Amino acid sequence: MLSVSNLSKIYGSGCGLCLELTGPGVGSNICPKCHSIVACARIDLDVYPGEIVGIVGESGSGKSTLIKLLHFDQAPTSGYAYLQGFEDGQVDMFAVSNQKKRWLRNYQLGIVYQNPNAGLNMEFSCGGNIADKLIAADWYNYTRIRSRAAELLQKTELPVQRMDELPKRFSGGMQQRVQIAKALANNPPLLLLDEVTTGLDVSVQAQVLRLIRQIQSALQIAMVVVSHDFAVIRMLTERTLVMRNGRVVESGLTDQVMEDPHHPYTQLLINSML
Amino acid sequence: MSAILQVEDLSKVFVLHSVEGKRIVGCQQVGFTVRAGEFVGITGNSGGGKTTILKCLYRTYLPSSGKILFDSELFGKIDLVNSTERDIIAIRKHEISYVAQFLQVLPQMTALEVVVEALTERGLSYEHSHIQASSILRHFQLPGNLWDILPHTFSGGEKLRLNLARAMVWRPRLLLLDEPTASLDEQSKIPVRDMIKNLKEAGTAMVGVFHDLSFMKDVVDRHFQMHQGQLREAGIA
Ligand SMILES: Nc1ncnc2c1ncn2[C@@H]1O[C@H](COP(=O)(O)OP(=O)(O)OP(=O)(O)O)[C@@H](O)[C@H]1O
Ligand SMILES: Nc1ncnc2c1ncn2[C@@H]1O[C@H](COP(=O)(O)OP(=O)(O)O)[C@@H](O)[C@H]1O
Ligand SMILES: [Mg+2]
Ligand SMILES: [Mg+2]
Ligand SMILES: [Zn+2]
Repeated sequence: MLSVSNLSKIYGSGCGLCLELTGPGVGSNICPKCHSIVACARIDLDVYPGEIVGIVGESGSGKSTLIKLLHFDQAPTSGYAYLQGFEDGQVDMFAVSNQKKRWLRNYQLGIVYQNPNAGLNMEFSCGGNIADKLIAADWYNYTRIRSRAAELLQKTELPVQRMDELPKRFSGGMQQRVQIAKALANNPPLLLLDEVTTGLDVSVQAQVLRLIRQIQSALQIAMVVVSHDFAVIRMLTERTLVMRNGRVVESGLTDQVMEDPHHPYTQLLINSML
Repeated sequence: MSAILQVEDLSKVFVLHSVEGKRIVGCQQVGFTVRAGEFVGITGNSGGGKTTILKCLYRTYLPSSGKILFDSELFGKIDLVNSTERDIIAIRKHEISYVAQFLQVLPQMTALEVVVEALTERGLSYEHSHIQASSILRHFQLPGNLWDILPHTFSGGEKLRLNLARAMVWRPRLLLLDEPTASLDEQSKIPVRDMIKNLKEAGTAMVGVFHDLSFMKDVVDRHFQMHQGQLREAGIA
Protein backbone atom coordinates (compact mmCIF):
# COMPACT_ATOMS: atom_id res chain seq x y z
CA MET A 1 0.00 0.00 0.00
CA LEU A 2 3.08 2.21 0.44
CA SER A 3 6.12 1.80 -1.71
CA VAL A 4 9.13 4.01 -1.06
CA SER A 5 12.22 3.89 -3.19
CA ASN A 6 15.61 5.47 -3.11
CA LEU A 7 14.60 8.03 -0.51
CA SER A 8 17.39 10.33 0.73
CA LYS A 9 17.58 13.34 2.99
CA ILE A 10 20.69 15.45 3.26
CA TYR A 11 20.75 18.26 5.81
CA GLY A 12 23.17 20.88 4.50
CA SER A 13 24.32 22.06 1.10
CA GLY A 14 25.42 18.65 -0.20
CA CYS A 15 28.33 18.16 -2.57
CA GLY A 16 27.51 15.26 -4.84
CA LEU A 17 29.79 12.91 -2.94
CA CYS A 18 27.86 12.92 0.36
CA LEU A 19 26.27 9.51 -0.20
CA GLU A 20 29.54 7.95 -1.33
CA LEU A 21 31.57 9.29 1.60
CA THR A 22 29.18 8.40 4.42
CA GLY A 23 27.40 5.30 5.72
CA PRO A 24 27.93 2.30 7.96
CA GLY A 25 31.10 1.41 6.04
CA VAL A 26 32.83 4.54 7.31
CA GLY A 27 30.71 4.71 10.47
CA SER A 28 29.47 8.26 9.98
CA ASN A 29 26.60 10.21 8.46
CA ILE A 30 28.61 13.44 8.13
CA CYS A 31 30.13 14.14 4.75
CA PRO A 32 33.87 14.79 5.29
CA LYS A 33 33.94 17.09 2.25
CA CYS A 34 31.02 19.43 2.77
CA HIS A 35 29.97 18.58 6.34
CA SER A 36 26.36 17.95 5.36
CA ILE A 37 24.47 15.35 7.36
CA VAL A 38 23.16 12.38 5.46
CA ALA A 39 20.14 11.54 7.63
CA CYS A 40 18.59 9.03 5.21
CA ALA A 41 20.20 7.50 2.15
CA ARG A 42 18.60 5.41 -0.58
CA ILE A 43 15.90 3.95 1.63
CA ASP A 44 13.58 1.38 0.09
CA LEU A 45 10.51 0.42 2.07
CA ASP A 46 7.31 -1.42 1.23
CA VAL A 47 4.32 -1.56 3.54
CA TYR A 48 1.39 -3.88 2.81
CA PRO A 49 -2.23 -3.29 3.84
CA GLY A 50 -2.87 -3.94 7.53
CA GLU A 51 0.78 -4.72 8.23
CA ILE A 52 3.03 -3.26 10.94
CA VAL A 53 6.62 -2.68 9.85
CA GLY A 54 9.28 -1.93 12.47
CA ILE A 55 12.30 0.33 12.19
CA VAL A 56 15.11 0.00 14.73
CA GLY A 57 18.52 1.58 15.03
CA GLU A 58 20.70 3.59 17.33
CA SER A 59 20.09 7.21 18.12
CA GLY A 60 20.84 9.36 15.10
CA SER A 61 20.45 6.57 12.57
CA GLY A 62 17.72 8.40 10.68
CA LYS A 63 14.51 6.80 11.93
CA SER A 64 12.61 9.96 12.84
CA THR A 65 13.78 11.66 9.67
CA LEU A 66 12.29 8.85 7.62
CA ILE A 67 8.95 9.24 9.41
CA LYS A 68 8.99 13.02 8.94
CA LEU A 69 9.71 12.65 5.22
CA LEU A 70 6.72 10.34 4.87
CA HIS A 71 4.51 12.87 6.66
CA PHE A 72 5.78 15.81 4.55
CA ASP A 73 7.21 17.49 7.66
CA GLN A 74 10.52 17.61 5.81
CA ALA A 75 11.15 17.58 2.08
CA PRO A 76 13.33 14.73 0.79
CA THR A 77 16.53 15.49 -1.12
CA SER A 78 15.60 12.75 -3.57
CA GLY A 79 13.42 9.67 -3.85
CA TYR A 80 9.89 8.51 -4.58
CA ALA A 81 6.90 7.21 -2.70
CA TYR A 82 3.64 5.75 -3.94
CA LEU A 83 0.60 5.35 -1.75
CA GLN A 84 -2.22 3.04 -2.83
CA GLY A 85 -4.89 5.49 -1.68
CA PHE A 86 -3.48 8.28 -3.84
CA GLU A 87 -4.01 8.21 -7.62
CA ASP A 88 -4.07 4.40 -7.42
CA GLY A 89 -0.44 4.34 -6.41
CA GLN A 90 0.60 5.66 -9.83
CA VAL A 91 1.84 9.13 -8.85
CA ASP A 92 4.90 9.93 -6.72
CA MET A 93 3.53 11.68 -3.64
CA PHE A 94 6.64 13.83 -3.24
CA ALA A 95 6.20 15.30 -6.71
CA VAL A 96 2.72 16.80 -6.28
CA SER A 97 1.47 20.24 -5.24
CA ASN A 98 1.38 21.34 -1.60
CA GLN A 99 -2.39 21.27 -1.74
CA LYS A 100 -2.33 17.59 -2.68
CA LYS A 101 0.26 16.89 -0.02
CA ARG A 102 -2.08 18.47 2.53
CA TRP A 103 -4.88 16.26 1.30
CA LEU A 104 -2.63 13.20 1.69
CA ARG A 105 -1.67 14.21 5.20
CA ASN A 106 -5.26 14.93 6.21
CA TYR A 107 -6.93 11.92 4.64
CA GLN A 108 -4.33 9.18 4.26
CA LEU A 109 -1.91 9.59 7.14
CA GLY A 110 -1.86 9.70 10.91
CA ILE A 111 1.23 10.37 12.99
CA VAL A 112 2.31 10.04 16.60
CA TYR A 113 5.47 11.96 17.37
CA GLN A 114 8.24 10.94 19.73
CA ASN A 115 7.60 14.17 21.61
CA PRO A 116 3.92 14.90 22.45
CA ASN A 117 4.68 18.62 22.23
CA ALA A 118 5.29 18.15 18.51
CA GLY A 119 2.01 16.39 17.93
CA LEU A 120 -0.36 18.26 20.25
CA ASN A 121 -1.20 21.85 20.85
CA MET A 122 -0.89 21.96 24.63
CA GLU A 123 -3.00 25.12 24.82
CA PHE A 124 -5.97 23.42 23.14
CA SER A 125 -8.23 20.99 24.93
CA CYS A 126 -7.87 17.35 24.18
CA GLY A 127 -11.12 17.42 22.20
CA GLY A 128 -9.87 20.54 20.41
CA ASN A 129 -6.73 18.71 19.28
CA ILE A 130 -8.82 15.93 17.81
CA ALA A 131 -11.24 18.42 16.24
CA ASP A 132 -8.25 20.12 14.62
CA LYS A 133 -7.47 16.98 12.64
CA LEU A 134 -11.15 16.42 11.79
CA ILE A 135 -11.64 19.98 10.56
CA ALA A 136 -8.56 19.60 8.38
CA ALA A 137 -10.32 16.60 6.87
CA ASP A 138 -13.41 18.72 6.15
CA TRP A 139 -15.62 17.86 9.09
CA TYR A 140 -17.85 20.86 9.80
CA ASN A 141 -20.70 19.73 12.02
CA TYR A 142 -19.93 20.62 15.63
CA THR A 143 -22.08 17.88 17.15
CA ARG A 144 -20.62 15.21 14.90
CA ILE A 145 -17.09 16.37 15.70
CA ARG A 146 -17.82 16.19 19.45
CA SER A 147 -19.26 12.73 19.21
CA ARG A 148 -16.41 11.48 17.02
CA ALA A 149 -13.89 12.91 19.51
CA ALA A 150 -15.70 11.18 22.37
CA GLU A 151 -15.71 7.92 20.45
CA LEU A 152 -11.95 8.22 19.83
CA LEU A 153 -11.23 8.93 23.49
CA GLN A 154 -13.21 5.87 24.39
CA LYS A 155 -11.34 3.80 21.82
CA THR A 156 -8.00 4.93 23.23
CA GLU A 157 -9.20 4.28 26.78
CA LEU A 158 -9.20 7.91 27.90
CA PRO A 159 -11.91 9.26 30.22
CA VAL A 160 -14.42 11.01 27.97
CA GLN A 161 -15.34 13.49 30.69
CA ARG A 162 -11.82 14.92 30.42
CA MET A 163 -12.31 15.89 26.79
CA ASP A 164 -12.29 19.61 27.58
CA GLU A 165 -9.10 19.57 29.65
CA LEU A 166 -5.72 20.67 28.36
CA PRO A 167 -3.42 17.75 27.52
CA LYS A 168 -0.50 19.45 29.26
CA ARG A 169 -2.18 18.44 32.51
CA PHE A 170 -2.18 14.78 31.46
CA SER A 171 0.44 12.13 32.20
CA GLY A 172 2.87 11.08 29.45
CA GLY A 173 0.91 7.92 28.72
CA MET A 174 -2.33 9.87 28.44
CA GLN A 175 -0.72 12.42 26.13
CA GLN A 176 0.41 9.61 23.86
CA ARG A 177 -3.16 8.30 23.84
CA VAL A 178 -4.45 11.72 22.85
CA GLN A 179 -1.91 11.72 20.01
CA ILE A 180 -3.11 8.28 18.97
CA ALA A 181 -6.76 9.39 19.15
CA LYS A 182 -5.93 12.41 17.00
CA ALA A 183 -3.96 10.30 14.52
CA LEU A 184 -6.88 7.90 14.14
CA ALA A 185 -9.49 10.65 13.78
CA ASN A 186 -9.75 10.55 9.99
CA ASN A 187 -9.48 6.73 9.72
CA PRO A 188 -6.15 6.84 7.89
CA PRO A 189 -5.00 3.68 6.12
CA LEU A 190 -1.42 4.38 7.29
CA LEU A 191 -0.24 5.33 10.76
CA LEU A 192 3.31 6.52 11.52
CA LEU A 193 4.44 5.95 15.11
CA ASP A 194 7.74 7.35 16.37
CA GLU A 195 8.86 5.94 19.72
CA VAL A 196 5.35 5.97 21.13
CA THR A 197 6.35 4.27 24.35
CA THR A 198 9.67 5.96 25.06
CA GLY A 199 9.75 7.75 28.38
CA LEU A 200 6.68 5.97 29.72
CA ASP A 201 6.96 3.67 32.70
CA VAL A 202 6.78 -0.04 32.02
CA SER A 203 3.15 -0.69 32.90
CA VAL A 204 1.95 2.33 30.91
CA GLN A 205 4.12 1.17 28.00
CA ALA A 206 2.38 -2.17 28.10
CA GLN A 207 -1.05 -0.53 27.97
CA VAL A 208 -0.11 1.64 25.00
CA LEU A 209 1.31 -1.37 23.15
CA ARG A 210 -1.85 -3.30 23.84
CA LEU A 211 -3.88 -0.41 22.49
CA ILE A 212 -1.83 -0.33 19.29
CA ARG A 213 -2.34 -4.07 18.78
CA GLN A 214 -6.07 -3.71 19.32
CA ILE A 215 -6.27 -0.86 16.83
CA GLN A 216 -4.35 -2.83 14.28
CA SER A 217 -6.46 -5.95 14.59
CA ALA A 218 -9.78 -4.12 14.80
CA LEU A 219 -9.21 -1.52 12.08
CA GLN A 220 -6.59 -3.22 9.88
CA ILE A 221 -4.58 -0.02 9.68
CA ALA A 222 -1.05 -0.37 8.33
CA MET A 223 1.67 1.12 10.52
CA VAL A 224 5.32 2.03 10.48
CA VAL A 225 6.62 1.78 14.05
CA VAL A 226 9.94 3.32 15.01
CA SER A 227 11.58 2.22 18.23
CA HIS A 228 15.00 1.60 19.64
CA ASP A 229 13.42 -0.98 21.94
CA PHE A 230 13.51 -4.48 20.48
CA ALA A 231 10.85 -5.74 22.86
CA VAL A 232 8.41 -3.20 21.41
CA ILE A 233 9.30 -4.15 17.85
CA ARG A 234 9.02 -7.83 18.67
CA MET A 235 5.60 -7.43 20.19
CA LEU A 236 4.16 -5.35 17.37
CA THR A 237 5.74 -6.27 14.08
CA GLU A 238 6.34 -9.11 11.66
CA ARG A 239 8.96 -7.35 9.52
CA THR A 240 11.75 -5.04 10.61
CA LEU A 241 14.34 -2.74 9.04
CA VAL A 242 17.58 -1.97 10.84
CA MET A 243 19.08 1.46 10.22
CA ARG A 244 22.53 2.84 10.78
CA ASN A 245 24.12 6.09 9.63
CA GLY A 246 21.10 6.79 7.46
CA ARG A 247 21.13 3.41 5.70
CA VAL A 248 19.03 0.29 5.98
CA VAL A 249 21.71 -2.27 6.83
CA GLU A 250 19.44 -5.26 7.22
CA SER A 251 15.78 -6.12 6.87
CA GLY A 252 13.72 -9.23 7.30
CA LEU A 253 11.21 -11.13 9.40
CA THR A 254 11.37 -9.59 12.87
CA ASP A 255 12.19 -12.83 14.69
CA GLN A 256 14.87 -13.60 12.11
CA VAL A 257 16.49 -10.17 12.38
CA MET A 258 16.62 -10.61 16.16
CA GLU A 259 17.62 -14.25 16.45
CA ASP A 260 19.72 -14.68 13.32
CA PRO A 261 21.07 -11.26 12.38
CA HIS A 262 23.50 -11.27 9.46
CA HIS A 263 24.95 -7.79 9.30
CA PRO A 264 27.84 -7.11 11.73
CA TYR A 265 26.07 -3.99 12.97
CA THR A 266 22.80 -5.82 13.69
CA GLN A 267 24.74 -8.49 15.57
CA LEU A 268 26.40 -5.81 17.66
CA LEU A 269 23.07 -4.12 18.32
CA ILE A 270 21.42 -7.38 19.40
CA ASN A 271 24.38 -8.38 21.56
CA SER A 272 24.25 -5.05 23.33
CA MET A 273 20.60 -5.68 24.19
CA LEU A 274 21.23 -9.04 25.85
CA MET B 1 0.35 -40.39 1.31
CA SER B 2 2.28 -37.49 -0.15
CA ALA B 3 4.81 -35.52 1.85
CA ILE B 4 3.81 -32.24 3.47
CA LEU B 5 7.39 -31.42 4.30
CA GLN B 6 10.54 -32.58 2.57
CA VAL B 7 13.84 -31.38 4.02
CA GLU B 8 16.94 -31.91 1.87
CA ASP B 9 20.55 -31.28 2.75
CA LEU B 10 19.67 -28.52 5.21
CA SER B 11 22.62 -26.76 6.85
CA LYS B 12 22.88 -23.74 9.08
CA VAL B 13 26.16 -22.04 9.90
CA PHE B 14 26.17 -18.96 12.11
CA VAL B 15 28.84 -16.38 11.29
CA LEU B 16 29.70 -14.22 14.31
CA HIS B 17 31.20 -10.99 13.04
CA SER B 18 32.02 -9.74 16.51
CA VAL B 19 34.34 -12.73 17.04
CA GLU B 20 36.40 -12.35 13.87
CA GLY B 21 33.83 -14.05 11.70
CA LYS B 22 33.84 -17.22 13.78
CA ARG B 23 31.65 -19.94 12.30
CA ILE B 24 29.35 -22.07 14.42
CA VAL B 25 27.62 -25.03 12.87
CA GLY B 26 23.97 -25.31 13.94
CA CYS B 27 23.02 -28.28 11.80
CA GLN B 28 24.52 -30.05 8.81
CA GLN B 29 23.05 -31.80 5.78
CA VAL B 30 19.83 -32.67 7.50
CA GLY B 31 17.23 -34.57 5.50
CA PHE B 32 13.84 -36.05 6.35
CA THR B 33 10.23 -36.15 5.20
CA VAL B 34 6.95 -35.69 7.04
CA ARG B 35 3.58 -36.78 5.68
CA ALA B 36 0.09 -35.67 6.64
CA GLY B 37 -0.88 -36.99 10.06
CA GLU B 38 2.66 -38.13 10.76
CA PHE B 39 4.75 -37.25 13.81
CA VAL B 40 8.52 -37.08 13.39
CA GLY B 41 10.43 -37.03 16.69
CA ILE B 42 13.97 -35.70 17.09
CA THR B 43 16.15 -36.40 20.12
CA GLY B 44 19.80 -35.72 20.86
CA ASN B 45 22.31 -34.07 23.13
CA SER B 46 22.04 -30.52 24.31
CA GLY B 47 23.53 -28.22 21.69
CA GLY B 48 23.13 -30.87 19.02
CA GLY B 49 21.15 -28.67 16.68
CA LYS B 50 17.54 -29.72 17.30
CA THR B 51 16.15 -26.25 17.91
CA THR B 52 18.22 -25.00 14.97
CA ILE B 53 16.33 -27.35 12.66
CA LEU B 54 12.93 -26.23 13.92
CA LYS B 55 13.88 -22.57 13.67
CA CYS B 56 15.10 -23.09 10.10
CA LEU B 57 11.76 -24.71 9.23
CA TYR B 58 9.92 -21.70 10.69
CA ARG B 59 12.46 -19.38 9.00
CA THR B 60 13.41 -17.73 12.29
CA TYR B 61 16.84 -18.82 11.12
CA LEU B 62 17.74 -18.30 7.50
CA PRO B 63 19.22 -21.64 6.35
CA SER B 64 22.73 -21.48 4.88
CA SER B 65 22.01 -24.16 2.29
CA GLY B 66 19.61 -26.93 1.39
CA LYS B 67 15.91 -27.14 0.66
CA ILE B 68 12.75 -27.11 2.73
CA LEU B 69 9.97 -28.14 0.38
CA PHE B 70 6.59 -27.44 1.87
CA ASP B 71 3.37 -28.56 0.25
CA SER B 72 1.42 -25.36 0.79
CA GLU B 73 -2.30 -24.92 0.32
CA LEU B 74 -1.71 -21.27 -0.54
CA PHE B 75 1.26 -21.55 -2.86
CA GLY B 76 1.58 -25.19 -3.93
CA LYS B 77 5.02 -26.73 -3.50
CA ILE B 78 7.28 -24.01 -2.17
CA ASP B 79 10.89 -23.95 -0.94
CA LEU B 80 10.82 -22.15 2.41
CA VAL B 81 14.57 -21.49 2.20
CA ASN B 82 14.11 -18.87 -0.49
CA SER B 83 10.48 -17.84 -0.06
CA THR B 84 9.77 -14.13 0.33
CA GLU B 85 9.06 -12.64 3.75
CA ARG B 86 5.49 -11.98 2.63
CA ASP B 87 4.96 -15.63 1.73
CA ILE B 88 6.46 -16.79 5.03
CA ILE B 89 4.17 -14.42 6.95
CA ALA B 90 1.15 -15.82 5.09
CA ILE B 91 2.28 -19.41 5.68
CA ARG B 92 2.81 -18.73 9.38
CA LYS B 93 -0.65 -17.29 9.55
CA HIS B 94 -2.46 -20.08 7.78
CA GLU B 95 -0.36 -23.22 7.70
CA ILE B 96 2.64 -23.56 10.02
CA SER B 97 2.65 -23.10 13.77
CA TYR B 98 5.53 -23.25 16.22
CA VAL B 99 5.78 -23.75 19.96
CA ALA B 100 9.15 -22.50 21.20
CA GLN B 101 11.33 -24.19 23.79
CA PHE B 102 11.54 -20.97 25.71
CA LEU B 103 8.36 -19.04 26.02
CA GLN B 104 7.83 -16.14 23.68
CA VAL B 105 7.18 -12.63 24.84
CA LEU B 106 3.59 -12.73 25.86
CA PRO B 107 1.44 -9.79 24.92
CA GLN B 108 -0.54 -7.81 27.47
CA MET B 109 -3.62 -9.94 27.16
CA THR B 110 -5.40 -12.37 29.41
CA ALA B 111 -4.83 -16.07 28.84
CA LEU B 112 -8.23 -16.47 27.23
CA GLU B 113 -7.70 -13.44 24.97
CA VAL B 114 -4.38 -14.87 23.77
CA VAL B 115 -6.10 -18.01 22.50
CA VAL B 116 -9.14 -16.14 21.17
CA GLU B 117 -6.84 -13.85 19.20
CA ALA B 118 -5.11 -16.83 17.57
CA LEU B 119 -8.49 -17.60 15.99
CA THR B 120 -9.89 -14.12 15.31
CA GLU B 121 -6.69 -13.06 13.53
CA ARG B 122 -7.26 -16.04 11.26
CA GLY B 123 -10.69 -14.81 10.36
CA LEU B 124 -12.98 -16.67 12.78
CA SER B 125 -15.83 -14.75 14.41
CA TYR B 126 -15.41 -13.68 18.01
CA GLU B 127 -18.19 -15.97 19.23
CA HIS B 128 -16.79 -19.09 17.58
CA SER B 129 -13.27 -18.20 18.69
CA HIS B 130 -14.46 -17.84 22.24
CA ILE B 131 -16.11 -21.24 22.24
CA GLN B 132 -13.11 -23.02 20.74
CA ALA B 133 -10.60 -21.18 22.92
CA SER B 134 -12.51 -22.10 26.07
CA SER B 135 -12.76 -25.68 25.00
CA ILE B 136 -9.01 -26.08 24.34
CA LEU B 137 -8.05 -24.34 27.61
CA ARG B 138 -10.37 -26.73 29.40
CA HIS B 139 -8.78 -29.61 27.52
CA PHE B 140 -5.31 -28.56 28.69
CA GLN B 141 -6.70 -28.26 32.23
CA LEU B 142 -5.64 -24.67 32.68
CA PRO B 143 -7.40 -23.72 35.94
CA GLY B 144 -10.42 -21.49 35.26
CA ASN B 145 -9.32 -18.77 37.66
CA LEU B 146 -6.27 -18.13 35.45
CA TRP B 147 -8.20 -17.47 32.26
CA ASP B 148 -8.83 -13.79 32.88
CA ILE B 149 -5.41 -12.75 34.15
CA LEU B 150 -2.22 -11.75 32.34
CA PRO B 151 0.02 -14.79 31.79
CA HIS B 152 3.31 -13.24 32.87
CA THR B 153 2.75 -14.49 36.42
CA PHE B 154 2.02 -18.05 35.24
CA SER B 155 4.24 -20.97 36.22
CA GLY B 156 6.43 -22.52 33.53
CA GLY B 157 3.98 -25.36 32.98
CA GLU B 158 0.98 -23.03 32.79
CA LYS B 159 2.71 -20.82 30.24
CA LEU B 160 3.64 -23.86 28.21
CA ARG B 161 0.07 -25.13 28.15
CA LEU B 162 -1.13 -21.70 27.08
CA ASN B 163 1.40 -21.61 24.26
CA LEU B 164 0.37 -25.10 23.17
CA ALA B 165 -3.29 -24.05 23.20
CA ARG B 166 -2.53 -20.95 21.13
CA ALA B 167 -0.54 -22.94 18.56
CA MET B 168 -2.85 -25.94 18.31
CA VAL B 169 -6.28 -24.33 18.47
CA TRP B 170 -6.32 -23.35 14.80
CA ARG B 171 -5.18 -26.78 13.55
CA PRO B 172 -2.20 -25.87 11.41
CA ARG B 173 -1.09 -28.05 8.50
CA LEU B 174 2.40 -28.36 10.00
CA LEU B 175 3.17 -28.01 13.70
CA LEU B 176 6.68 -27.60 15.13
CA LEU B 177 7.08 -28.45 18.81
CA ASP B 178 10.24 -27.79 20.81
CA GLU B 179 10.15 -29.77 24.07
CA PRO B 180 6.37 -29.58 24.43
CA THR B 181 6.36 -31.45 27.74
CA ALA B 182 9.53 -30.07 29.32
CA SER B 183 7.94 -28.43 32.35
CA LEU B 184 4.88 -30.61 32.77
CA ASP B 185 4.08 -33.23 35.41
CA GLU B 186 2.85 -36.66 34.29
CA GLN B 187 -0.80 -35.71 34.82
CA SER B 188 -0.57 -32.57 32.65
CA LYS B 189 1.14 -34.50 29.84
CA ILE B 190 -1.95 -36.58 29.18
CA PRO B 191 -3.99 -33.81 27.49
CA VAL B 192 -0.93 -32.86 25.42
CA ARG B 193 -0.62 -36.43 24.18
CA ASP B 194 -4.35 -36.59 23.44
CA MET B 195 -4.30 -33.30 21.55
CA ILE B 196 -1.33 -34.44 19.46
CA LYS B 197 -3.28 -37.60 18.61
CA ASN B 198 -6.34 -35.52 17.68
CA LEU B 199 -4.30 -33.36 15.36
CA LYS B 200 -2.70 -36.42 13.80
CA GLU B 201 -6.11 -37.80 13.00
CA ALA B 202 -7.06 -34.46 11.49
CA GLY B 203 -4.00 -34.71 9.21
CA THR B 204 -1.60 -32.24 10.83
CA ALA B 205 2.04 -33.09 10.14
CA MET B 206 4.28 -32.60 13.18
CA VAL B 207 7.96 -32.34 14.02
CA GLY B 208 8.77 -32.52 17.72
CA VAL B 209 12.02 -32.20 19.64
CA PHE B 210 12.21 -34.17 22.89
CA HIS B 211 14.27 -35.11 25.87
CA ASP B 212 11.25 -36.95 27.22
CA LEU B 213 11.63 -40.30 25.45
CA SER B 214 8.77 -42.09 27.17
CA PHE B 215 6.31 -39.38 26.12
CA MET B 216 7.67 -39.33 22.60
CA LYS B 217 7.23 -43.10 22.16
CA ASP B 218 3.46 -42.64 22.58
CA VAL B 219 3.01 -40.23 19.69
CA VAL B 220 5.91 -40.69 17.29
CA ASP B 221 5.83 -42.39 13.88
CA ARG B 222 9.47 -41.97 13.05
CA HIS B 223 12.37 -41.14 15.31
CA PHE B 224 15.62 -39.39 14.39
CA GLN B 225 18.67 -38.74 16.50
CA MET B 226 20.74 -35.62 16.29
CA HIS B 227 24.44 -35.89 16.80
CA GLN B 228 26.87 -33.00 16.31
CA GLY B 229 24.58 -31.25 13.90
CA GLN B 230 23.73 -34.37 11.88
CA LEU B 231 20.52 -36.34 11.84
CA ARG B 232 20.23 -40.13 11.75
CA GLU B 233 17.12 -42.23 11.63
CA ALA B 234 16.79 -44.20 14.86
CA GLY B 235 14.43 -46.82 13.40
CA ILE B 236 10.68 -47.06 13.06
CA ALA B 237 8.99 -46.64 16.42
N1 LIG C 1 21.36 -17.91 17.04
C1 LIG C 1 22.49 -18.58 17.20
N2 LIG C 1 23.69 -17.96 17.03
C2 LIG C 1 24.86 -18.63 17.16
N3 LIG C 1 24.93 -19.96 17.46
C3 LIG C 1 23.78 -20.61 17.62
C4 LIG C 1 22.50 -19.98 17.51
N4 LIG C 1 21.51 -20.89 17.75
C5 LIG C 1 22.15 -22.03 17.98
N5 LIG C 1 23.51 -21.87 17.91
C6 LIG C 1 24.52 -22.90 18.10
O1 LIG C 1 24.16 -23.96 17.26
C7 LIG C 1 24.34 -25.16 17.93
C8 LIG C 1 23.00 -25.90 18.00
O2 LIG C 1 22.15 -25.25 18.96
P1 LIG C 1 20.63 -25.62 19.22
O3 LIG C 1 20.04 -24.58 20.07
O4 LIG C 1 20.00 -25.97 17.94
O5 LIG C 1 20.80 -26.94 20.09
P2 LIG C 1 19.71 -27.89 20.74
O6 LIG C 1 19.95 -29.16 20.14
O7 LIG C 1 18.35 -27.36 20.64
O8 LIG C 1 20.19 -27.84 22.26
P3 LIG C 1 19.34 -27.81 23.66
O9 LIG C 1 18.90 -29.17 23.86
O10 LIG C 1 20.37 -27.35 24.65
O11 LIG C 1 18.24 -26.88 23.45
C9 LIG C 1 24.94 -24.84 19.32
O12 LIG C 1 26.38 -24.91 19.23
C10 LIG C 1 24.50 -23.44 19.56
O13 LIG C 1 25.37 -22.79 20.45
N1 LIG D 1 16.44 19.25 11.19
C1 LIG D 1 17.68 18.74 11.20
N2 LIG D 1 18.76 19.47 10.86
C2 LIG D 1 20.00 18.95 10.85
N3 LIG D 1 20.28 17.68 11.17
C3 LIG D 1 19.25 16.93 11.53
C4 LIG D 1 17.90 17.41 11.58
N4 LIG D 1 17.09 16.41 11.97
C5 LIG D 1 17.89 15.34 12.16
N5 LIG D 1 19.19 15.66 11.90
C6 LIG D 1 20.35 14.76 11.95
O1 LIG D 1 20.07 13.65 11.12
C7 LIG D 1 20.51 12.48 11.71
C8 LIG D 1 19.32 11.52 11.88
O2 LIG D 1 18.45 12.00 12.91
P1 LIG D 1 17.10 11.34 13.33
O3 LIG D 1 16.36 10.94 12.12
O4 LIG D 1 16.41 12.25 14.28
O5 LIG D 1 17.64 10.08 14.08
P2 LIG D 1 16.87 9.02 15.04
O6 LIG D 1 15.42 9.30 14.95
O7 LIG D 1 17.25 7.72 14.43
O8 LIG D 1 17.43 9.24 16.38
C9 LIG D 1 21.20 12.89 13.01
O9 LIG D 1 22.60 13.02 12.78
C10 LIG D 1 20.57 14.23 13.34
O10 LIG D 1 21.42 15.04 14.14
MG1 LIG E 1 14.07 9.61 16.75
MG1 LIG F 1 16.81 -26.67 21.99
ZN1 LIG G 1 29.10 16.23 0.87
